[in-house]
Amino acid sequence: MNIILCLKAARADYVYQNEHRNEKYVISPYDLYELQYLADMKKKYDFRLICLLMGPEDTKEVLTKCYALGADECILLNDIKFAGSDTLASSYILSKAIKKIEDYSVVICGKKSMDGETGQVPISLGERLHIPYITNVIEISDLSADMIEVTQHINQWQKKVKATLPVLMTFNVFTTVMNSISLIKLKQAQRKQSIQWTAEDIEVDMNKCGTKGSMTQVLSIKPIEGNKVCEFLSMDPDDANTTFNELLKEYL
Amino acid sequence: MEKKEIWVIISDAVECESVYQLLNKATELSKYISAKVTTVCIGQFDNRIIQELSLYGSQKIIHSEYSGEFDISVYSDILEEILNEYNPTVVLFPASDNLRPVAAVLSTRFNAGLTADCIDVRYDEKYGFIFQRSALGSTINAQIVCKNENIQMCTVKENVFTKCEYNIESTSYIKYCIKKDIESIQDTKVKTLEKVLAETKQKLDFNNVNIVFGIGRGIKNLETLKKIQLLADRYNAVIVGTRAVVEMGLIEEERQIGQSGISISPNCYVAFGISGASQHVVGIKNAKKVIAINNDKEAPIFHYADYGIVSDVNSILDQLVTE
Repeated sequence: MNIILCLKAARADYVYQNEHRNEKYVISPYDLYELQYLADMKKKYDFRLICLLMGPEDTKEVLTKCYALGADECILLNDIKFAGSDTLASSYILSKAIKKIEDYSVVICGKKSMDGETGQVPISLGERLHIPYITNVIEISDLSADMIEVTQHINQWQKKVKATLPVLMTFNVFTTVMNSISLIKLKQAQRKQSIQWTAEDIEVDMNKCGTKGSMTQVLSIKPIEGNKVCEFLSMDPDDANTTFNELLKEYL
Repeated sequence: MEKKEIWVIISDAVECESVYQLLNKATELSKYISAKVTTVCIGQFDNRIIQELSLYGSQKIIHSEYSGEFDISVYSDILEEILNEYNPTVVLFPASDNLRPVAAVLSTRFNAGLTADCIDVRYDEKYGFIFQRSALGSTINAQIVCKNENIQMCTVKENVFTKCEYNIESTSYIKYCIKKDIESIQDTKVKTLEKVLAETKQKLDFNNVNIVFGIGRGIKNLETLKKIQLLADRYNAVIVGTRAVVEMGLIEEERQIGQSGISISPNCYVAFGISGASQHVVGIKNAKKVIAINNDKEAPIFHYADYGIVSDVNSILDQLVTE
């Protein structure tokens, strides 16, 4: 049985704005939980965990971590023709890659990405694959060759749901806390090769990829910056209390 | 010739407030293209809500009285049918748990542009409808247009727009009968085994709190946190924090403010040892008065603060909490 985890890489300096990190990319915090959850599930259930990553060439470093955390196979989808894809084009590309993998029982996605943050790709992907989608999953309680049992948390309800396979699921978690990886596991991971697929490999219609295949177009992007004019105060030890009180007194 | 339409969708009574707000925006936009403002209701809605939809701007209501439980496939199929019949120019969805996925499904089926979490929509002579949203943890604002001429879609969160009473006198009401056999659409592949009310963790009510103290990485240990707690007691302040301190185990997850946590808009926010990373400040951008304490004068937090104190958090706390 194959379980495919669609994941994204996020810029390390964006996820960890206060620390200096050696790597340029990390596994998106919206996908990390699922990867570790599935790797843990492998102790109890028999399946192959395939990680599918769509991104620029240098996001490949993230796949080494995926192997180290327990992935059986890692695939990088990379092609200049994918650049500029909106959610529709992205889900199309992913669907072609998954169709090429052909044999899969479950597709799992994180809730959203760190950059676009639309959360649209997973559902769109489920539509294209013509498989049912289950959102807001918090736990997988049972898995067999043809069925999966999960718990969903939607609005104020917790639902226990049973689905026939194949199915697409999204979790609703965010974490930057990665399990510790032993040096041996890391070295083994570094020796593993990940597969790289281009537009041609997955036989996409070029008109459905990149900016060509996108139905939304970005006209302009403007950075938002904090623009308050800050009045700096000096806190003399003697009147620290008074100063602080002055600042807060109208809210008491 | 059929008049153009701008649609607002509603699928559940909880979306009401959002929908009334969207109707106001729809009315504003409708004037540019001489369109009719239409609310499409899927599900059971009582007369009171139908009246209010008219009150807040619906010139037309299309109601599919589907009585079954919400299901993404079913609602998508129903809307797909109605979309094919009326072909509206713009479709506004409240960004609810129900409709976000429905919007994504329809965007795929119609190959139509969908902009998520819009913070504004406007009409431009040259570009048509421009959908504005923020991305990258609210560090950038993007202006987006759809390549498709009709069924331009977007989802909008609650309280982005405001509602307005229009008191339409002759709102037309159409009871829509779905042609497709619903039973055939219902997903038999996914079955609900049981459904219980989720154990709601005591939700912190930030709506009635005046002063909020936020703690960040600069609070290195419990000792410092204890001093802040004493100070918070004195000022009746609620303590929240960044993702970093949640991961350090200093405060519970429910108190995490920011991109992956919650947003608050207190009257006064005091940031203790918070650097001002975008993922956190997005959660306090509507705070009225912000006071920041950080020992790095270049810390980005000072761009979001009205008052700044460049100092080590601990020494400030020692001065404030001497007893």
